Amino acid sequence: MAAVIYLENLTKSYGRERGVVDLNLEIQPGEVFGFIGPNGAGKSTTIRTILGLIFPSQGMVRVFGQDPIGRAESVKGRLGYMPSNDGFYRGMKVVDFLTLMLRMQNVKGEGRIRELSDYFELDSKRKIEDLSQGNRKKVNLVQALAHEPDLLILDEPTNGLDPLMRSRLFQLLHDENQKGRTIFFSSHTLSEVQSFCHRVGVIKNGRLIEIQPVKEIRKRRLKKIHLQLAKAVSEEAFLKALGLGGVSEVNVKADELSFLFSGEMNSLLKALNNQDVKDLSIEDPSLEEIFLHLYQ
Amino acid sequence: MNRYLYFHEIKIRLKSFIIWAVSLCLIIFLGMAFYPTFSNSNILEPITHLLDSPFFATIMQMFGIDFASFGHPFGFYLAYLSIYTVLAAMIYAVFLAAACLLSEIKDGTFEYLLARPLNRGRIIFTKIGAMVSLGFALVVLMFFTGWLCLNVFRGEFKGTVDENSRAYGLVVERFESHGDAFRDFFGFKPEDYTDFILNQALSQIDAHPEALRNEGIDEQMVGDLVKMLEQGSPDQLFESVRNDPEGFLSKYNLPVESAEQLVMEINKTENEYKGILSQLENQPARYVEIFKSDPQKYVIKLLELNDSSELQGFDLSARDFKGLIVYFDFSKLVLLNINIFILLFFTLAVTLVISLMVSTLQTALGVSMGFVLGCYLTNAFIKVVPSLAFLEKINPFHLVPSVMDQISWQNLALGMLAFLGLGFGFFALAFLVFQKKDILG
Repeated sequence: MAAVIYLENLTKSYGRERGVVDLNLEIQPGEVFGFIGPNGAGKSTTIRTILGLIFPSQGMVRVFGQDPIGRAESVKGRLGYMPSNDGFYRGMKVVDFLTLMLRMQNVKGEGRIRELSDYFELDSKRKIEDLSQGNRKKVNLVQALAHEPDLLILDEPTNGLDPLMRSRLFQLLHDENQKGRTIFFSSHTLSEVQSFCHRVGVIKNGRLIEIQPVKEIRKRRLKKIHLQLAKAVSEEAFLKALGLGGVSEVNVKADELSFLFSGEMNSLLKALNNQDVKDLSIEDPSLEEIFLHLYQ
Repeated sequence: MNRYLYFHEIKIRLKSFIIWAVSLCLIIFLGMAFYPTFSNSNILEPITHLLDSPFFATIMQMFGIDFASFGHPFGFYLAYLSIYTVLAAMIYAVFLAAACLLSEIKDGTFEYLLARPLNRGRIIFTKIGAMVSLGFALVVLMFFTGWLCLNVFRGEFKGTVDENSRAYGLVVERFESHGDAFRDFFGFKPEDYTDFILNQALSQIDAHPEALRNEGIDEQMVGDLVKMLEQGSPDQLFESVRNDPEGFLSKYNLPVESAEQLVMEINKTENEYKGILSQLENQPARYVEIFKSDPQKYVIKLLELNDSSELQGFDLSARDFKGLIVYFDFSKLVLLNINIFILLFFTLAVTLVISLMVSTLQTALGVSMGFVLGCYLTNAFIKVVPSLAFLEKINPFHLVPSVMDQISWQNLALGMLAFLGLGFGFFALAFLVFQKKDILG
């Protein structure tokens, strides 16, 4: 089967600013692809090129096997896009905006708008400009979903959504995917991508540095450990006392200490038992930290 | 053209359109409401004298204001229009075109639009269509306001006789066929006719002084004769020549050889003169020529009649007379407003191209506003600096003249075609540039 999104040697440079360099990517029908990278890495540039908002400097873009600029009418009829910033027309009501977007999609399905608005608890009678950031995000989401597209491209969809709505969104996307729809979405948090995507692509400084099935990334589960000890210790003394492998990026500041851990959680907890720990937090490391860990 | 996008474009700009349209029409209306006061000769007279100051006269000339034309409401309308209204309409056009693409970029809504199954050509074509429609609607509203004001606010202006109208032809024809009634009604006497002929001759002489010289006629004599005629009647003139032919011969250089010949010539001329006067008795229709030389004066006298039954003597009704008078030239009003639209069309196109060259709404507004004001002020300077006159026709604002006489197809057709063509050209350029433009958030 032909790829839904096909990028070949895609390069986009804007004068001084960095764009993307030599990017190759294929997304298969029915796939959920997570596109992660820190801010400014080139996520939005890639997405905009896929949509034909910007023109590639070099390389080729195909969506449903077609040129998204030359064949905009057929490509975009099957595509839903949620931009990362939730723009809005001043003075326009939610329902009017959503209906307009649906009409321009040549679809009649106001029922779907109502369904989605109820699902996300969105008051569609209000003006968009009066809504909170989170609610504008919901409007943005609904306009991408309402015409039931075959391909969903979501640029940081969870940004600014509260945890409840976030889980509803993932549930909805999961259901959409079950119906055979392809989902391409970008994020800068690895953990939310991990739980949901089939494959993950990592972009940094405009280069796609890795595409992996999520299973592979899970194997290299990495956590950031933050400790507060009763008294100040040196790095060497601490590592010796811990006596474990898989520790990296150790950072000591008097009695506070942090490091990345990729080993067995159980053995870490046992080892920490011997320490005089006053406070402990275990969290997902930032992408920067993962990259430093993976590519040092 | 996508109708959903088209109506959406109209809808989101409707509020500002209404505010601008109402303000502009109100400015026209209030300005014209001031006209009846202005038309009062007690006010107009002293103002006209302001032009005795060269400084003031130059400033007025820059804005194309001719106080002499203020006696006519259309002249007042033109001067008023050229000062505020057209410029304000162009500023609206700049706002309209600058916001067309850049407000979508600024508000981050372009991404929604470009994710729809519409190719870029359709998007920009629809957007151009929507803003041209709004510009057209504005001009139409301004046109109707102007038309209404010119019909309502006439002040002391009595209108002018339209000599090309069918009513005029009819009235002249009835006057000729009812010569006696016509003569009696206006109380014409043979002397009125001779005065008329004389005045015509004098105006010919004034208009072509070189003709006298070419014919070898003594200019000094003509001047003296005119003076004598102004003081007395033709009969007295003939008499004084007969009484002293020698004196005349010695005083002026005449193409006669002797006093006897001069007297003979004078007698001949007197007979011709008498002949014409007696003919007038039988052919009162010849008085119509007096009427035709200044229909304005006589028609207004007729219009002041309280009892239109007096017109029955000519087989005419009051309605026939109404058609004689025009208060303004409707075709000029139409032509003027077509030109305002062409100017607006051109401004929209230029601003749209500018908006594609810059990245922010503020810059586009600044540059386009600079362009419009620059053209407007250059147009003002060109009017007072004769050496810049060659620039006049390349300035888009010349399409909206402030003087009535300049509004004619003959005078403006070339400029209209040129700026309409340029407008289409700039829109085509914008269309092409937009096809290749990166839309950044």
